[in-house]
Amino acid sequence: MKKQDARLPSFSGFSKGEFNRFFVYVVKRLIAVLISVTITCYLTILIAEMGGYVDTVVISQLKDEIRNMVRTSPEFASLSPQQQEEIIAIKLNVTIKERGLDTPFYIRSLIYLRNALTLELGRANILVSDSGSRRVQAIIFERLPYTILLFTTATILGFVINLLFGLYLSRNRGSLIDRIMVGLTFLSSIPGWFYGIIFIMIFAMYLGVLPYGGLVSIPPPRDPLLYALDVLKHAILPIFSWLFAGLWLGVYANRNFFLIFSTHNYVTVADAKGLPERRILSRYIIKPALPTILTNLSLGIIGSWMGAMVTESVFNWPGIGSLTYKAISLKDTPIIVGTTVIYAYLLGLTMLILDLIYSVLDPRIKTGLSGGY
Amino acid sequence: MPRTNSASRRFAVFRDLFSYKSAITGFIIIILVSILSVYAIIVYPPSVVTRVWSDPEYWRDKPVLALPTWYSSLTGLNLPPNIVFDTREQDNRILKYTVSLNEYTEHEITLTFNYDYDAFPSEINAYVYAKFKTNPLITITFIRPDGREIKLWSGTLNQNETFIILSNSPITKKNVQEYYLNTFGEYIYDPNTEIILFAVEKRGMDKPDTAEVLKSMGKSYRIKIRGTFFEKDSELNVRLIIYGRVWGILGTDDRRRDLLIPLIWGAPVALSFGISLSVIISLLHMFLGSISAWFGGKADFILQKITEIYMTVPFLSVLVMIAMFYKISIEVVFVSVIILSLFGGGVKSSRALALQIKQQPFIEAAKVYGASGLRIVVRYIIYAMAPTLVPGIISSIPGFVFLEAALAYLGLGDPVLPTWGKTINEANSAGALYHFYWWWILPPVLMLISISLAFSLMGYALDKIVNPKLREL
Repeated sequence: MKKQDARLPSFSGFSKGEFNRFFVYVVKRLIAVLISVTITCYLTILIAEMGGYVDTVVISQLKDEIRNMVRTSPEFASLSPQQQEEIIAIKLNVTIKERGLDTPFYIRSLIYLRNALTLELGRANILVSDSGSRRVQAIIFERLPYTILLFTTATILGFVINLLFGLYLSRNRGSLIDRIMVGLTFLSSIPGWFYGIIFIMIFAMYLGVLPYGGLVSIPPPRDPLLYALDVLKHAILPIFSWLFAGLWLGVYANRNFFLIFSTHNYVTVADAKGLPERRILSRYIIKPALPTILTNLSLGIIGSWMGAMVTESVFNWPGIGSLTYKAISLKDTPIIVGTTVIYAYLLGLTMLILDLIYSVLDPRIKTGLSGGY
Repeated sequence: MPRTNSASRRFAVFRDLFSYKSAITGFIIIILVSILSVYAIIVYPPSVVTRVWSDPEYWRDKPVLALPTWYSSLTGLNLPPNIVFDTREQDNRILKYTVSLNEYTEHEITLTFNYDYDAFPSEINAYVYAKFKTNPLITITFIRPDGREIKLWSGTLNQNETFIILSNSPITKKNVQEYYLNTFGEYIYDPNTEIILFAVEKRGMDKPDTAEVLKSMGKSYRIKIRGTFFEKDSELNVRLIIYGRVWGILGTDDRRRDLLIPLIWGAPVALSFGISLSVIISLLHMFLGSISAWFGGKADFILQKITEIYMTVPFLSVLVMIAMFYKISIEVVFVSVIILSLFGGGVKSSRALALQIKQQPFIEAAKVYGASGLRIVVRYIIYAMAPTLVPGIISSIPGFVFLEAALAYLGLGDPVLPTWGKTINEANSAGALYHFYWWWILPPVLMLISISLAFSLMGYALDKIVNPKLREL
């Protein structure tokens, strides 16, 4: 028992040496996160701009536009074609300078990177938010709530269901329901979006009880309460298909995870002592498993903010996933970079915060037994 | 340890494996799909399928959106198949007359058929083959069992071979409108000609839900093709198709294509894509993880850092970006997937396993005989690690199969190969879910489900055998 207690989280204060070590650790982690965000961001910029190829396309588009403008404008109608060509060349040069297209791509990509990292995401090339804004932030944050409504709800719901169900099964190992659930694990090999199609076929096409997709019915109900209910009705199928896809493997993983924890000697001892079930669960099984559970939950939630491109397009849901897809298909680089950088930051921050929590909870880091890994 | 009695151990694995019913089911499905793949490649080699699949000419004789043939017998509804007449062939439904007078030749072809089906045909089209010097006049008339005559087409031929759209031609529409106006005093703006031609004469015969099929009941339908040629030496032949509602084993799509082809062709694509990606990526993960564990130090540090950076890269967005911006083809996607998942989570788990194996005595022995680091990694660590990771490799196959399907669903499928994902995408964009074209969307969905379940059933059963700890849990 004594030995096990030492591995449980201790909240005793820091000594000075411990604090220094802790501080160095935090700074190291911070730098690591920043580096990974930067690399991800730069990679995205390089791919999205096709290594500078997009510039050539943009310049020829500009040339076309300016030529059209000059040729059709009455202002320049009296000029000879040669003079017109000169004016076109001058105007093109000015526009290229104005847009900064005359600086070489690698320099501009670095400027772009700096802007992205400082979250100055700029304006979208083509896409416009529903409120009419071209600002990338406005466009992204307009879609984010819908994605959160769908996927964060699904993630949290799924997390709770899988955790509780898994815990229950781990305490009732070998029961009929346990054997059934373990036997059905293979159902999770089908992804959520695909269950989406199957459920649309069943509930929308065959039974006709739930909508095919979209956010609200057309026309949307006027009453705010009815509107909310309508949105919920549209969210049922996507949430359900995500839950269904994750349920089987999720429950199985949780069950095995808790089984490993409940085979520890201290749990057997606690059982033998006749401690109540609740106490065993909360103190001897859940508590030591908490770090892993927390990591899974937070990574799941962050991941859910990216939406799911395919699920959103199956259900025609106006979230971040379908926004990203639209941006990619329209080559709207600012939006692609914007969603990526926000996601990378959120993920990096979450991992950093988790690291900090663990380093406070885990005595090994304070004592410098193992650093990081 | 890794190589003692390996042959008998392998047999033992199979014996254990087939003690699981789920594994047998999975195995049978995989074998069936493999047979289907081989069949697909033999019957429709890639060069043929890519040419045929995107060639509208090839499919012109098939009905649009036809149900599978077996649907008729399943529901008891008598649905019409294609009714084909070819006057170049001997056929007792075809009557041919030719009258020559001076410089004129009059050809009259009468096609007689019974129509006792429960549904209307979907279209009527004809190929007219004629030999002439001066452009002849052609008239095609439709005669119903109740004696009504409706002119379908009339005009002059300019070519020796002409494809004539009959039921949807403007002339037919106009004549049908006239007929309806004369009979019921009502004007229909856009008549469903196939329905009115084959419906019992009554009000509302123009609408699919109120119209009744005029069954021939002994009296027959006739189509008369009359050609007036301005020369002696002439010839007129017709290939006329009354398109039905059922076709083939799996029906057709909106471009008249046989849906059996993408169904069987999806099998080799899915199998090769899924299996090869899963094996290649797992091997690379094993290799990187073992290197990380064996060499430790700097190599370990760098590999772990790269893995962490990889975690922040949004996999699907980047993949979609590459597929969309560069080139949509299954090879590009294949290579991109490998590069994008090179430093995935598998590296970490392989590393953990390799760290354990590193402590084993046989590694010590290898070191003693002077094996190089790379040799130890490849020859011993990966070799020892592989059996425990095989179940994972098999269970990860469905993920890659569905990845291809997901990309195809987003419209980024291979441009020429018909695959399951692409079929679902095409069905979906044609509104198959809304219009209940189940025969279009259901078969590829079922194939994807069964193949992914088969692999994961096998994977889980193997997992229990290879990692006996799981059996105790």
